[in-house]
Amino acid sequence: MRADGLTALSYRLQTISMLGGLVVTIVPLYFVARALQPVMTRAIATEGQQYFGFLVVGIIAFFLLTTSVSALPDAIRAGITRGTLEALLATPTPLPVLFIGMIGFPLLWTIVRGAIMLVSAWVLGAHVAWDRGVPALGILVLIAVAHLPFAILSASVIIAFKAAGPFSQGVLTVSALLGGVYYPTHVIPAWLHAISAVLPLTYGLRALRRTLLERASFGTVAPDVAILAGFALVLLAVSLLAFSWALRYARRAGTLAQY
Amino acid sequence: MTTVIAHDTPPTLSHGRATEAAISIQHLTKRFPVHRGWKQTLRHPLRGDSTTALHQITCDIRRAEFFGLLGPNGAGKTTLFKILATLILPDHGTARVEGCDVVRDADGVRRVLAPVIADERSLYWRLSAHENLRLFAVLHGVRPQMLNRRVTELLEVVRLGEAGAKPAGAFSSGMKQRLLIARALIAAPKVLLLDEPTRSLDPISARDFRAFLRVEIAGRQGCTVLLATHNTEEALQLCDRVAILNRGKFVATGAPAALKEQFGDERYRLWARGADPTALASLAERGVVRGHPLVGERGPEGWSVVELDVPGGAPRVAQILQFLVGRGVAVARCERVDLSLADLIERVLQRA
Repeated sequence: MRADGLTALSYRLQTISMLGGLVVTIVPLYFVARALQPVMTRAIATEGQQYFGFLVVGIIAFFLLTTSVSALPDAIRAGITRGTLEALLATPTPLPVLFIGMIGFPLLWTIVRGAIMLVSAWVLGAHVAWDRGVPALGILVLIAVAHLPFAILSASVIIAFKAAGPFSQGVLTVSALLGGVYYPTHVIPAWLHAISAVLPLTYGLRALRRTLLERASFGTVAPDVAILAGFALVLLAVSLLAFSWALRYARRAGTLAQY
Repeated sequence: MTTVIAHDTPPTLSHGRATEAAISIQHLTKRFPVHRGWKQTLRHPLRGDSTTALHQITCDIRRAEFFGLLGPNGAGKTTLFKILATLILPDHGTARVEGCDVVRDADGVRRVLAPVIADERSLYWRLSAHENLRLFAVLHGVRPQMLNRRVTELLEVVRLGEAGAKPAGAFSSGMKQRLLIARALIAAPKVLLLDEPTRSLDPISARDFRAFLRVEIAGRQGCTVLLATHNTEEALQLCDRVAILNRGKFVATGAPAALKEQFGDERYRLWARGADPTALASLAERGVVRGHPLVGERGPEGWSVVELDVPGGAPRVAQILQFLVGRGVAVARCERVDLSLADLIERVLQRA
C-alpha cells in the first residue's frame, strides 16, 4: 500500500488535477440536480428527498465501485507487464494479503476523493448527516468488498487467458444503469427489477443514502446491509476459488509472466 | 579475481547423503503446450501438442555450493529456475529446496529461496532503492524493528549506500542489477537463483559484479547459488560445479576442471608439412581421431597447422605421429591445446 501510494503521489500533476477535477465536477452536478429537484422529490422521498445529495452519494459510491472492480485487474496486468507480479508471487506473503496490498491504496485514495466531494457538496448546500459518518463509511467499505469478487474474477481471467474478461465492464455498466446511481431503482421498468435485485450496489446505495441523508438507524438499514454482506461472502468464496484455479493453470502452463 | 576450482565431486550425491543437499531434484519433467494458430485449433480442437522443456532431470546441489547451469537458448534453464522458485509447476518428479517440496510446501520454499529476476523493470522505478527494499522486506516478513537496519546494511553490501534515496529508475543498469540482488537477499535466503545476472552489464561492471558474487554472496553470506549463464568464462570463474543442459536434459555435470579433463584434454595441434589429405582422412576413418582433422592454411614455407581430437590422449598421439612420418609428413611441433569452456560446451553438446 505504501509503495503504491508513494508511486501514485510521485505523479504530482496527475494528483493535483485529480483533486482539482473533483471540485470542478461538483458545480455542474449542483445545477443539474437543482433543475431536476421538482421532478425527483417524490421518487426519492425515502432516500434523502434532496436530489443533489442523492446524486452526490450515488456518484461517490460508484467511484468506489469502479475502483473496487478495476484496481486489482489493473494491478495484475501492470504487474505481469513489468515483471513485478512474479517478484511478488515469489515472496512468502499469502495471496489475500498481496491482494489487499494491491487494492489498498486505490481504495483509500477513492475514499479520500469521495470525502472531498462530499464536503464540497455540503458547502454547496447538500444535507449531510455528519454524525452518521462512521456507519456510512462501514457501508461504503462493504460496497467495496461486495464488488471485489468481480475484480478477482477479472484478474483470474487475465492470469489464465491474458485478456480482460467481461466482468469489470459488465458490472460497471449494469450497476450504473440499474443499481440506483442516478435515480432510485423503483423508477426503472418492472421487467428490469429482477436484474436490479441481483446487484449488490442496489442494496448498498439504499442503505448508504438512508444512513447519510436520512439519518436512519442501523436497524432500519440492517436488511439491506445483511443482503450486501451475503453477496460479499458468497461471491468472495467463488472468486477466490476461481483465482486459485487460474493461478494453478498459469503455473502449470508456465504463462504466469506472459502477456 | 581468483579462479576457484572446487574439489572434484560426483555429479549427484547418493540418496543416503540427501540431507546435505540444499537443492534436491529427482526425475523432474516439464512439458509446455505448444501454441497453435486458429487454423490448427479449429482443425484439431482436442489435440494437445506439447514440447518438453525438462526431461527426467536429477541433480543434488550441496549447501553453500556455487552451481552453474550452462546451455543454449531453450535448453530449459529458466524453466528449471521457475520450478524451483514455485512459479511453474512440474509435470512429474520432485524438487526440494532445503527439504521443502516445491509443489506441496511452496510457502516453505519461498521462505528459504530467492530468485533474482534479472528484469530491471521488476523494480519499482518511481520508488527509491530504500523503498524498494523496504517493500520486499515487509513481504518477506522482516520484523519492523529490524527493517531499516537490514535495508541500510544491504544497500551498503551492494555498494548503493549513497544512492539509497534516489529513485531506482535513475540508476544505471549495473546499479539496478545490484539492487535486484539486494532485494533477493533481504530475507537472508539460504538459496539464491541468478538468471544471467551480468547480461546487461559492461565488461568492467560485470567483472566487479562477479567478484561481488564470489566474495560477498557465496563467501560471506554463505548462500547456495544456482547461476544460469551463457557466459562460460563467468561460470568457470564462479562455479564449484557446472551442469550443461541441452534440450531439457543434463548432458554433463561436474567441476569445470573435471569436465575439461573429461572432454577437453584430447585436442592436439601439429605443425606439419606435406600432410596428405588422404592420410588424415584415413585416421578419421579408422577412428584414431574423432571427427575430421582441421587443416589450416599453408604458410610461406609449406607448413600448415593441423588440429586433431585424439581419444586416448598422449599414447595415441605417438602412434599418430609415427603413422604420419611413415607417410612422408614432416612434423615440426606437436602440442596439446587447452580448450576454452565455450569449445568444451560445444563439444559436449555435439557428443550429446
